[in-house]
Amino acid sequence: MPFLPFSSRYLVDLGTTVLIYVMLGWGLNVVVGLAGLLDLGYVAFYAVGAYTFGLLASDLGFTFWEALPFSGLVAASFGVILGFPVLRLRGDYLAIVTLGFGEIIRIVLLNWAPVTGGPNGIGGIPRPSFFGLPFARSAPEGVTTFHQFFGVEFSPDQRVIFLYFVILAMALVTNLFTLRIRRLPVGRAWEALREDEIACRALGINPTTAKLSAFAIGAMFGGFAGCFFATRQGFISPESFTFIESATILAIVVLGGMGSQMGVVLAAILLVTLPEFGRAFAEFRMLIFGAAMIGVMVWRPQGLIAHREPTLRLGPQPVSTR
Amino acid sequence: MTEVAEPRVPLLAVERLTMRFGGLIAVDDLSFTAYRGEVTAIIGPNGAGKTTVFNCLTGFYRPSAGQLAMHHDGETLQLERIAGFRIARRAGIARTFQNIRLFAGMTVLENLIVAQHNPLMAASLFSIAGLLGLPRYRAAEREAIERARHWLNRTGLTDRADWLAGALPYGAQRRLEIARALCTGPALLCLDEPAAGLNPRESAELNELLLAIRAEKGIGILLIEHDMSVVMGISDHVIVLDYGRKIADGTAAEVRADPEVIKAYLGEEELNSLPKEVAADLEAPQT
Repeated sequence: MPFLPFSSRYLVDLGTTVLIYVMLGWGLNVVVGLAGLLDLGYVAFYAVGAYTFGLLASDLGFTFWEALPFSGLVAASFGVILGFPVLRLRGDYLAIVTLGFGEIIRIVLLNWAPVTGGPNGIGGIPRPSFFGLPFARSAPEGVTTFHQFFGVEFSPDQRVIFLYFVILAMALVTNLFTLRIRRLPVGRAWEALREDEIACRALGINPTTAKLSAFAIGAMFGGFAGCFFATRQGFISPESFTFIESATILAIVVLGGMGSQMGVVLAAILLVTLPEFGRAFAEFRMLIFGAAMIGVMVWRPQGLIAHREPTLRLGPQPVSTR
Repeated sequence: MTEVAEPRVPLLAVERLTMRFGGLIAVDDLSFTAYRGEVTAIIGPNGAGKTTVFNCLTGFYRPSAGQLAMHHDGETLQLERIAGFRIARRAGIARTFQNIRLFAGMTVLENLIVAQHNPLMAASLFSIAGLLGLPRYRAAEREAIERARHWLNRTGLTDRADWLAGALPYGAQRRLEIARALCTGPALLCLDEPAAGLNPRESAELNELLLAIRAEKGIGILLIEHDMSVVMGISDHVIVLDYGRKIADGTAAEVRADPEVIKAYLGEEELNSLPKEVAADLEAPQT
């Protein structure tokens, strides 16, 4: 990760892309890695988050920071909407329905032209501001821009670097949240649900709320990432939310090792940068990529980092007189 | 076997329970009562409907007919009207499974903490207090760990608390499943063949453990078992099922001498062809 973001614009851009996938991977990890619900339509929540911001911005003039919580909320509600009909499904059947859900969202975005702009998408989405200071060469009357406020020379790189730090912060918050919730009763209930749903019911865990909360929280992170994607691109269209995106995010989670936070980071770096390094080989790129994936599945079928850290350990015996 | 001094307090009253699967009647008009502080065993040949009774009690099946009244916390609950996952908390019924169902990929301790989901969930204020790390939740979690430690000590699993549950040997997995059920703080513990696959020494230890739990917590135990050393050793009360019907109900000694029971286990013709003493001897170890 380019922690010296002044290295080059290309690296910062690449780092930003990696971090978007890291965040999506962490979000999907809640659903797939912890709760064990195979979701092949995760990109739908990414799309919902992006379009929520796109529509709020173009119709109501929301800025990135104002729209961010709404993107998460709307995506989470879509997570619950998807969750309800698939409560009884597991494994392959669940995967097929979620796949369909992802496609439904994309096709609705494509065909509901009066609202979503259809294949033309939504353009002119506002860029994020630095606490109200826009990144622009010249500002309209009465507005101070970032470079004027800090008295530095204007450079288009400033915004790119800022975007990098925004997604870095968002990803870190996602990680902290996930690490924490894993150690809470909800998180343990998700993992228990993955291990044995019948035993969960016999222990008084409500499988409905456990599954819906996993779907909602996973979707919420997807929505946040989508909102960021929209503000970074400034333009969104259904083309960005195809099944191949869902497959990539799932590949990141599986490749990294289900449930492993660091594994997701490693796999996201690999999956995003490998095609970049392969540019020299041009048409053989996908071939090499595919071979690499097969290699990993042969040598490390559990994923790159398969270790699972227990959520708590038995401490030393307390001093008692009994 | 029981101290006669105390009056028996009914815990669970099963009234005319019937369970049909299509044309098959798995449980047919079954009535019995389980008492607090007693071990009630349900025995019978394979396919007699024992596990079906358990699945009705714990909400996995909805009975076709009949009533299941559970007396818990001063109120009487009709189990057949409660959603399956609520029975553990509201009616205080915990169970184990014939084919062990542990959370194999989680540690032994985590298995016991998951069993205390509901009190912990309330203490974490639906995760909000937990996310903020408030002391109220931390205290609840510490309490849950202490309760888990207590049952780990009782089942001899303390040394292996941080092992993955799936890595435990078979006998230890059986004990962990019992410990996990006990962590829910039940009034009635339902054990589905707890001694299956255990060697004689392990089943003797199981007997001791169950008797100790009963003495300590005063809870009722409902037991499905084929191992007659367990059934005859610790049961206060034995119910015999055959083809879904109750054919005998009484103390272990009474049931053992019941001709109907012997017939169900050995079949009529074989029984008649055997000398009397041999038939009586065969009856005990036959499963």
